[in-house]
Amino acid sequence: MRRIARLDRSIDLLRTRATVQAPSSTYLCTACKHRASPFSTSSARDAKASLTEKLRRKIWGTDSPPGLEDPYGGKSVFDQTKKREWEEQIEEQKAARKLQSQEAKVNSLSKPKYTPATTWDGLETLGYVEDRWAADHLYTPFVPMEVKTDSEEITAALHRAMVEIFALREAGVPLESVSSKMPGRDLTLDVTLDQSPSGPVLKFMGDAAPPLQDLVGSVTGQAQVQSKAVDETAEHEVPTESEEDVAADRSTVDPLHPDAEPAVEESFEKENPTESEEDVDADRTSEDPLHQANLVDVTYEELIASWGPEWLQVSLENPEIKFAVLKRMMQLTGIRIPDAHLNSSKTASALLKLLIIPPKPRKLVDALSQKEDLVTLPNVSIYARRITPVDKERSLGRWKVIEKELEERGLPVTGHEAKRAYI
Amino acid sequence: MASKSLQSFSRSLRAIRALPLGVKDPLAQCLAPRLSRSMATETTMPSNLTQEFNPSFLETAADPIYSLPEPTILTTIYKFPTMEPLRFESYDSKHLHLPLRRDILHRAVIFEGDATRQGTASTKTRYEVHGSHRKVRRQKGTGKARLGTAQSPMLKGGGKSFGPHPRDFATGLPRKMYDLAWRTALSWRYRRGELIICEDGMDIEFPKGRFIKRIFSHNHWGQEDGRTLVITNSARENLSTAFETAGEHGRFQMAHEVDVKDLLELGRVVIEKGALEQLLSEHQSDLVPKIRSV
Repeated sequence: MRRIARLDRSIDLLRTRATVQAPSSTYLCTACKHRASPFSTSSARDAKASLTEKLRRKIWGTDSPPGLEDPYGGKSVFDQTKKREWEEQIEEQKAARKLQSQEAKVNSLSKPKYTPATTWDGLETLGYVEDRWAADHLYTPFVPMEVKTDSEEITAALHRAMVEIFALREAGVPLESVSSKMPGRDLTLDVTLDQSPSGPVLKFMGDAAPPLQDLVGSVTGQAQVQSKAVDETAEHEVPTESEEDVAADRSTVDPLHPDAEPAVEESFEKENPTESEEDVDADRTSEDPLHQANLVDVTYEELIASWGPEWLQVSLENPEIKFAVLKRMMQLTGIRIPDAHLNSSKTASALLKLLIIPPKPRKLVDALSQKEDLVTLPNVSIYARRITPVDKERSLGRWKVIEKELEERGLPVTGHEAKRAYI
Repeated sequence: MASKSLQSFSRSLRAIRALPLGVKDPLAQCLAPRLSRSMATETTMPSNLTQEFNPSFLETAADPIYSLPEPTILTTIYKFPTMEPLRFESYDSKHLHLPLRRDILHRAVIFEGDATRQGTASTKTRYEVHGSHRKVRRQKGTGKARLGTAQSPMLKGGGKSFGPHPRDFATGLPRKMYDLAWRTALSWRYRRGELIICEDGMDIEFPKGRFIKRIFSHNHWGQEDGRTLVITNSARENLSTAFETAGEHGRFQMAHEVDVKDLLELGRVVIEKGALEQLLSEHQSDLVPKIRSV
């Protein structure tokens, strides 16, 4: 606070308050007198009209004089009217644009090639994604999540991989065309490899073995034209109702607009088909998806025995074949072979050994639990961590009682709570 | 009683003195030196050792014409981040299949650690401590010990006699040894299946830690499996930003920032092919003759 009052503004020379009548003994200058005079900071004064407003009222003689509310601050009448006109223009433009877009929509709707949906089931969602960072959206791995551990499953998978790769080679298809999609049904159950002077050759055992083209198709992921199986899309002379329906379902002619050309070639095999397109493809192939159910009865052991021992002796020294077999194995089983073992795996049997042997356990507790003669001892038990007195009480069955009693008395159950109590 | 105990004593003595067949009783030997005696003890070599003994390993790694059992080795090149195998690639055994030499690795790690030391510990000697150098009290007469300056190391507040001073802790290591250590570290990783080589242009779509976490959890590369070091040739914004929040699962480094210690530290190394080749070409001074500038 200043000892000598200084006026902040020249307007303060104007005395709006009653000045203090100082006693003659003390001298006060006008500024100080003015400052010392009583004043109010409450808002009762604000409700009243300011000095300028009062003057205006007096001049015009009415309580609501014409003119701008704030003649000294706000824009002039001319500017304000101009602004209003400008805003109106913008609104008109917006309305016009809205009308146009609506008309466009109406126009497009007036020529429908589809029937507009009434519910949102099955429609593609745009913009809002439920969980953009959901695990499935983020990352599509090449190798499946589950790794096979059963040795028979792995043997069967290796056999399948080898048969498929050699089938591709026999058909003359490049080995890089193995599809990276999830492997489908196993068609190699009745096919095996034989050694011949010119190299390994496919051996089709029995009638259940599919033709080479089917095998190649299942690997490359393209449905091939079946010649043997019944053509369900063929039209019979006297079709039954259900057959008519099926035929109608599968034809590309639109019943509502028979003359219109089909815009989308739905039978064309696309590179990355969507789920619905895959379903359509599945419908149109003659492979019976339930056929596999019949083979569950055959055990892996019988299958492996039926193939014989020769397929294991096939050499994998050709790096192209080795790579293709390993890649297919990865897709089927999820097992990855470390690079250092690539050189040493020269035959299928060597590769199988590497695949079947499970990795060494990383923790001692896992390694000890695998030792049969240790686990079967009656007086030995293996724990993963230090055995505390609480563990001993728990094994005896007393712990629940102790815990309940301690809680009832309000005492700390474990020592850590007691430490915290001091803080 | 005495005779019995004597008998048992003599019996035990005999038992002690009963030597196995073929070994002569040393007490009955002549102690005079023999005129002809072989310097080496005679023994037989275990049979399996003679079969596997490969004299070529006696040649030192520094010898430029030493040979390893296989001249080249195969590696798989993967596509990041789907980890789809793309093709095989073969490298020289002397780059990625060297035998494990722990002593050389140790020396290289120590060498790097020494070079990394800041060496900024500093203390003041008695000559540097601030203060007057006046004699604190007279030599004789006070019953107390004689004192010179107040900065003497004997006194509280005085200087430190042989304290640390800022210095350079870097040591030397022959360049060929260091390069051999580099390649030995990479070879060790390769042998254990912990060297994963990916195609050039390794990067992720979004700079998000959860992306890294998802990839690592699927491939078993994360915290529970020892963490992973990702090495690329050049800066990758998305990868480096993502690793800032996923640091517990691994680390991202560029090839020129990597050390032998970094290669040995984490659980595995995921490296770009270009980065690997750059590192191998930078650290092969013991294999390639020095280019002499004319």
